[in-house]
Amino acid sequence: MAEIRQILGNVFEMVKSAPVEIRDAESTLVNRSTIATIGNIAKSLEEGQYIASVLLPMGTQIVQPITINSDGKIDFKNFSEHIIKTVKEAGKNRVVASLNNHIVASTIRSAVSAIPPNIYRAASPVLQNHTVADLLESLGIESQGPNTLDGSMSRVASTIKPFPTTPLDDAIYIRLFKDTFKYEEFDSFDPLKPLATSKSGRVSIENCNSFAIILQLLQTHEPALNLIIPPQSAVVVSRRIGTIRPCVAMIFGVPLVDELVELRTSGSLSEAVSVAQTLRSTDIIDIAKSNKTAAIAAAFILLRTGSFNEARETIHQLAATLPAGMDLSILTAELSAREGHHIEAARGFLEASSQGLPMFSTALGYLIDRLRFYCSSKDSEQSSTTPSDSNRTWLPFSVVDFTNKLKAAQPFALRCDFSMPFTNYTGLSPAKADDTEMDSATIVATGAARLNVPSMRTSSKKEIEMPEITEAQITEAQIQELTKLIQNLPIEAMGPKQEFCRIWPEATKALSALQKILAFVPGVSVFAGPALAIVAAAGDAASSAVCKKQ
Amino acid sequence: MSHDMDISPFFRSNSESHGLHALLIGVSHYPFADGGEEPVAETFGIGQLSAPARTVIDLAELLRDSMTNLAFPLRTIRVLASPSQEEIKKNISLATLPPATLENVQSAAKAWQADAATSRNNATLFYFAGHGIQRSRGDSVLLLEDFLKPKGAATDLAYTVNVNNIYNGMANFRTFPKLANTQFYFIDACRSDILNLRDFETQETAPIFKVEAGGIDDRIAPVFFASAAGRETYGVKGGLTLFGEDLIACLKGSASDKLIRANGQKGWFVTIGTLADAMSKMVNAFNARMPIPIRSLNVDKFTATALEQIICELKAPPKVRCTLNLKPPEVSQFASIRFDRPGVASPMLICNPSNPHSCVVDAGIYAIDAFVPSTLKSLYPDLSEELVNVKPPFFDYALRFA
Repeated sequence: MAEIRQILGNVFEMVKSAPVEIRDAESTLVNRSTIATIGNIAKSLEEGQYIASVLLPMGTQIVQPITINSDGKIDFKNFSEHIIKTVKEAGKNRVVASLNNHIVASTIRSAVSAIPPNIYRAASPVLQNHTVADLLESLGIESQGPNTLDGSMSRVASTIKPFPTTPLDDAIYIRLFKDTFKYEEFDSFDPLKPLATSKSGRVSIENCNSFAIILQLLQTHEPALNLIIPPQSAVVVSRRIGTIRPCVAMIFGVPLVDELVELRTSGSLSEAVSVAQTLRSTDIIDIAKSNKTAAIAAAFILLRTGSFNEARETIHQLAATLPAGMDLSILTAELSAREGHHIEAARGFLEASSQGLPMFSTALGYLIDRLRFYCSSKDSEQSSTTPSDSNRTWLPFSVVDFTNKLKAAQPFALRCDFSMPFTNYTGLSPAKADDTEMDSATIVATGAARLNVPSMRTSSKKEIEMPEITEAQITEAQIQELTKLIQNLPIEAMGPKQEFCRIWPEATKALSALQKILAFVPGVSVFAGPALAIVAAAGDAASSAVCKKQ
Repeated sequence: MSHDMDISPFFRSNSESHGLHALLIGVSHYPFADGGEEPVAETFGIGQLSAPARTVIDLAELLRDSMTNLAFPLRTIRVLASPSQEEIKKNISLATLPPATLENVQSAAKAWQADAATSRNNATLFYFAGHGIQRSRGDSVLLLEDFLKPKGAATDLAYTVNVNNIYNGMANFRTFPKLANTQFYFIDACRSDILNLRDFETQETAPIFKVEAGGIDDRIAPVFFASAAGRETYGVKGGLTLFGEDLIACLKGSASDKLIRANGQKGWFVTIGTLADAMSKMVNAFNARMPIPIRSLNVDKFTATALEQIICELKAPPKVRCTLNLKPPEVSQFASIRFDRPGVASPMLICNPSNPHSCVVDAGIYAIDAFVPSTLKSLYPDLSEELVNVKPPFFDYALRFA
């Protein structure tokens, strides 16, 4: 009987870490596994009919009966064929979505460009009314946080500012810095040269060096965003329609690790655990031979979601073989804390926090949590009424040590989006986290390079390369009509009122045509409709206010 | 176990054996915040709420009424609630509950800890709904009724408590060697930070417990945060908090799955893992209906072992709301859908369904296929049978004709 690896062929690499559930005929969950290790579970199950359910990387779930034979083998033929068929279908749909996104992006950019900045600005109060508060009010929902107008730093509120105040304010500029805290201007002659534009229109910045770099994204009216890119890792920058802030995806380049991060981020904890539990220390040591960064990331995941013994073994081996680094120090210290060796752990966290910032947000989280924990534990010990309390062994450390380290690290943690695997924070100087919003003059003064990131629909799901892409569902006639409408619009039109009044009727035709098509197209971002409506409303408001008077 | 400072528990069983001890706190009314009776000059944008108190009383009643289904027999429930007038109008009994002031919370938490410290086989459940802020990641500061109370408070956070202090204090195994080994935490409060408080990043909250460091913390003690770090939580005005509503639905069965226990017993159980998965799906589904994804969920401090921890068991398979989408839409005029559960129930044949078609069925593995009259098969070839796992919290499925 053929192994699943052989039957799946080149699809195997794409789906091998996909989580699998095995249920008996009564739908009772009897085992969890991954595609790669599904063959091993047959030994632990009795002969008979089972139902396998697999969650593929593109988010599709398939359910298929499987049979375990008396010799403990599984017949994978139908199961594998189903997976291959589903993967190929997903590939086709992805092309459709990509095409739609391109059309939506082009139309909105053209329409926005058709509105002169002064008119756009005049209409902006209309746009700014599309706030979270309005949405909540319409739904009869109240926030359990501070009022967003009174100083809340809500991430939701800041990520959905509907549109820039001028059509050109959405440009993104970048700088790169070598290593953490080293403030060096971006230079096109810099030997790093890690920039590359992906064919899909997103911008991928890969760190091919042996040291971490900091990518800084600069936009007007936003704080500078710093992203630490570890060696052998990449950051992909794109932007959703209707939003200012760029979307950032972080990639380790090792499918298993990227899959685990994705499962964890999307809240699929059971699946994340089932994948993590198949991880062995030998797997991670193998990963370390080619990608040290991914190996450390995998060890962090293993410590949280996998077998503790495997995690311990892995961390000891990584500590023995990899060069010392802050993330590895934190990993080792956290392991010590979990094992109850708090003096060793506390020393480890103190030493690690002297080295700057860790590359992984998880590591930064552990650091902050433990420093705060040891601060409060020490306080408790000092006020303890039990002299024999073994906490007296804390005497080598001072509360001030922990407090100072906490004060140093906390501003970065406070501004870190922990849903991203790499450490990130805001602040023009990477050495100092703050919330100062950028203006054009400040950005120009930095000498930052402009990054061309077209607006597009982005998916929270990691995209994978699919074979045999052949079909699209939008008709050719529709595409041609739209293309014609878009081409007739002067891109980057920034002319006077007369020009706007001439252009706008054509722009609204394109928007209207697109809105009609969107109603029938699956997979288009929920942002597309509202974004089109906002642009149309702004243009119409400007048109009625300005054009009729002429 | 009695406690000198204890406030009257909402529920206390007669049994002294090990079991579940719950501490539920809901704060809707903030007298010193915006819209309160005595607002102070600087309120940091904190206003009044109308869902937390009702949410905790609903959760308390669910726990009390589901006693026989819980994996740990219910022993005590302590409820502290500071209801809004709107909530009191709808449920007058809310006014009789002890308010969630700092003094009451400190007292109730210590009594709760003492009750939980009688056996390592005990379990605890902590739920807080109300305003919250964060100072850093992993941090969640809970604002109690007397938040911003003037009276010479040393800091702005004098009438707040820190989740970490409660969490770490419940691991004081040196002082309480028999402290419950299984602990569930549900934090239904925002974790966005306040710009004006960033100058006080290391400002301390009021202590509940003295925290010990030492020994191995091998608790099963996951924390469900209703919001990711930096995000907010929400409630329906005059209704329940969104997180609380989901949690209650999940405990009633929306998070159940058919599992096999270590002793071989099969059944429909809600575990930490199924709860996390179901609540994530509910949050994602909510966000998908919104023009803006406003909700989030973060499950922290979990381990692989923790995910298998059973919270409660259902007596019967849960009902699942199914939504079947036919594509293209016009095919619904002609199509028939067969929804079959071989060997368990008669096939369900749905002719000319609405689109989307909604129905409610028992959870389980189903076979589904769809077809049109023979005259239309050239346009819409039959959809071959697919197996689907219909499981809570809901089942959405697309039937795509070519």
